[in-house]
Amino acid sequence: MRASVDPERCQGHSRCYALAPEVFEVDDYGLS
Amino acid sequence: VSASAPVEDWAVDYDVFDPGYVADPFPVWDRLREACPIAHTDRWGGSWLPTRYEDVAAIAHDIEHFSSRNVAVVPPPADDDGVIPGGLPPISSDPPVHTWARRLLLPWFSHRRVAEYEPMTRELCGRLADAIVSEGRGDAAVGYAQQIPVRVIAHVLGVPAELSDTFTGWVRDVLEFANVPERRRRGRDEIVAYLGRLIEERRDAPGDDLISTLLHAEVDGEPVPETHVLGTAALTLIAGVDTTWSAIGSSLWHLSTHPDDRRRLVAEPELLPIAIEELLRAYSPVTMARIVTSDVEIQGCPMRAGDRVLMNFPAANRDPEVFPDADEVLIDREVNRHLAFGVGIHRCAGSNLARMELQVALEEWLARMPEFELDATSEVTWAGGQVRGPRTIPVVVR
Repeated sequence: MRASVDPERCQGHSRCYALAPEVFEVDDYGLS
Repeated sequence: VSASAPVEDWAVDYDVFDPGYVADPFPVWDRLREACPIAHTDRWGGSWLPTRYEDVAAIAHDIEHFSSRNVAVVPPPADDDGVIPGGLPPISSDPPVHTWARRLLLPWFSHRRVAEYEPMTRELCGRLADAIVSEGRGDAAVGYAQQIPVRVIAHVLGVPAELSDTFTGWVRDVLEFANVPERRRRGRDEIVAYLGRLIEERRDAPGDDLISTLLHAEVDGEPVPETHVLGTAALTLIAGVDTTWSAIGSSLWHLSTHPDDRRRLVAEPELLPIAIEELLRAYSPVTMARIVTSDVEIQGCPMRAGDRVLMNFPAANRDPEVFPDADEVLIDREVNRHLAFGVGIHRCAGSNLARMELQVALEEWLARMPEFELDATSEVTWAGGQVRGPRTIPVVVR
């Protein structure tokens, strides 16, 4: 599976990390 | 305006402190959504009450017309500003202050940081649940839910957990008893005095805590004003306690009254994160307010500058236009873009922490008490207004 992040649209809620921590990384501000 | 007279027409005279509404607001919202999706009242200082998801979300995003400068559901008493001197940044800030104020706070509630709080949360929940098991009965609100978030927040603020009951009292004064001016003022004064002393201490002897960090933070080369540090610390205390406690309490109330859901979660613990989102949707605790900045018409309602609008996230989350079977709790509901944490620039900064606390609190409870039910000899009571949730949930362990 491939996932991509649109940093323009990311709102920093960390939901991607909560659902798939092995796929996404988020910073201290919740931004992926 | 006091609010003792019974409500006859909820569309033009709603009362958010009506005891029947506090205990069961859902039928009122369902009727309003059909007939008059944005209600109005003159009670409690006057406000508008949207009930549809689309309207609540649109207002939340429209930061030009809707300011967060006062987010209290009940406006402060006329003879008193009723608020913390520096406000509660960033929740009570508009941009540009909001932008840097939120950025200062977010790292304290990142996934990484929240993972550090998990072991103490688990140990605490286990200890509280063991006490209820050994009695064979207890109060899932007072003896469990109420005890958890305040201790985690005490840890974030770097203050002794022994003060937890005191903090809980202050937070209830400013939120749940906002309609009782003496209590609201007392809670506010205590919080300001306590945090003021704490700031002095931390200035002399900094630690690894939120206040010490904020005192040493710089924004555009300038130190953060002390009133700002106090406001952000007060926000962390106020917003981190009543809200999550209410969500844990509502969840346990649901599980005590819905044995099929409870047994399914015991059998399928991997479903818990999905179920928690559904419980957050169905029993969203938090309503915030906005102040209209310039006259604007929303769904035909003439909102005037200075008017208060209650961001009815709990009603939005019951909107059947967005959630099929909105009034049913479906613990395996997968598509669930609920607004329990708000939406837009003010969306909850502590949601990672809230979700962790909910997950751990329910896990540790169900691990010890897979079978429990309401104690029929005692009553469940609810608080409402800014934060809705059960305040007593007497249960018997089976």
